[in-house]
Amino acid sequence: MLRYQQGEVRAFEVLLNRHRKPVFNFILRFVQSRELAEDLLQESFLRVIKSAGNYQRQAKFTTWLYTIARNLCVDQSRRAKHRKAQSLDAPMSTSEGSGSLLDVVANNDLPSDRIAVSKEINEKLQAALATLSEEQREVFLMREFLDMPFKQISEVVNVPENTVKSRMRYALQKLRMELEEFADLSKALP
Amino acid sequence: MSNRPDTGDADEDKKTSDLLALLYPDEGAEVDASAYEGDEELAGFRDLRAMLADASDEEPSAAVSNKLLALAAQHAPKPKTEPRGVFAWLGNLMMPLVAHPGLAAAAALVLVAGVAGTLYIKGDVQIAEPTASSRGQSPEGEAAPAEIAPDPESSAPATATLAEEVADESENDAEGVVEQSPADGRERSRSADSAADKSKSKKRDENRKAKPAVVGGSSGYGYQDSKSAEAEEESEAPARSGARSDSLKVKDIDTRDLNAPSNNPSAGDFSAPPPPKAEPSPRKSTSTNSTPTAPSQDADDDAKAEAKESKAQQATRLHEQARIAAKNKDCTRVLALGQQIRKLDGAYYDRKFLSDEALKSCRASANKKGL
Repeated sequence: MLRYQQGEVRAFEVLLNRHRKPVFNFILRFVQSRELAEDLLQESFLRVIKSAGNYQRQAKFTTWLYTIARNLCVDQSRRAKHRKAQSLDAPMSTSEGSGSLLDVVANNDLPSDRIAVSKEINEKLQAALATLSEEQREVFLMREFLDMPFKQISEVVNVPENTVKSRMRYALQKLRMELEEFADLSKALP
Repeated sequence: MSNRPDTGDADEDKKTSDLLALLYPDEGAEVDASAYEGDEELAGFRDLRAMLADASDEEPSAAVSNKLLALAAQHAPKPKTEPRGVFAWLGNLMMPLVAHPGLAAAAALVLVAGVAGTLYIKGDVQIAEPTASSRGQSPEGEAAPAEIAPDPESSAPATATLAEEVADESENDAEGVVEQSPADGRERSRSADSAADKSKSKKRDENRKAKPAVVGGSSGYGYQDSKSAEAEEESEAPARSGARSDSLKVKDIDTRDLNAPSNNPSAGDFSAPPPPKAEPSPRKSTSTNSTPTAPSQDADDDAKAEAKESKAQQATRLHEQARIAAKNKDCTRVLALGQQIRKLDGAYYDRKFLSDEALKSCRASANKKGL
């Protein structure tokens, strides 16, 4: 980021390649819409570009980046609060044509049986995440899929660390209940 | 399980922290795993995580990445050009000193100490100490008082005073006399001079009793001493040229003492501190700084300068005496002194004596009388 501040565009490309996938998946699992996730991803990095001149090395870049992404997701969630929840099976309004979220989310690198289980898990995961509160969801996603320490999460969401841990525990308890039936299935897979 | 608000329960918080620390070892928290062995909640969490590990991540479309790169190139910040040059380099060098108060204070202290030390070494700054050199800024003739000056305890003029008091009042202080043995020797040589010197020294002693003894060649006080002594002397002797000769004699002795080389240190001990000379030391210093000349030529130059200076000083002294006489309404003496001044230094007479308002009354009366 400091190199990009000096006008080195190549440095931003490195940052983009490093963080775009985890940020995209975080946004995707939060808003549960690919198109919206891409828009928010673009908006997040655009804000990084515009604020590059004012960036100071006071905090980690990831903290700063995920704070931007998380705030965008929260804003979007509040705007869509009164909207009808989008069905995972419903066709998405993407330029790539029709297709459900499950088709997009599935990882094609896994074996076929695993792919099938993975799809189902993702389906259920999305549904389970939707039952969580925004605070619990964001904490769970950051910890579980972005591997952010609880201390860093507390900086992003601006709450005490103990509060973050409490939210995480409640999110795990809820997801455990929602996904309990798939736990044995996952254990059976090689 | 419903979403419980954060109750702040310490035990519950501790269990939460422990469970999450065991679930996520990268947190770095140290937890006793044996305490939670067989914990159902912990086991359930671990199963959930294992299941979520199969959840796949998705890649964003390439169009988004391309668009972001284009925007990044478009809005790339301009590189900050650091100022170059000596001043910029100096500023970068001094910035840590200025930023840190401790370093700034240390740098200031070093600077002040360095400047003070440099000035001290160069000699521009002198510590105010009464040294022999500062007191003995006198010509060679005053070497004797200068020699005595560093020893305030012996206090040669005072010593001479004491010796003469003893001699006059017949109150012999054996120790003092013994101690003054070198002074006695000098006193003997001193006593070999004319009787006027003794009377002069007597008067000088009386003056010194009234005033504190001045060690060394305090020429100002000595000047006053000699001046008062000569005033007394002049009052005793009639106003004639002989008096002038006597005064001149006294002065000659003084000057002789002063002019004499330092091989006659004894002569100067009992003489009053000679009147101020016209900066013989600087002249000497300049002579030392300049091209070295023959010693005889230097002595001649010194003698001539001292002769000129003594005449001017004598004229001034007589002028002062005339003023005192005028104050005492002794116009006869005023006129006599005027004649002496005129013969001594005509220019001074015309310039100073005739224009002195204090003597105007006596001169006027003299004109009336046709003198």
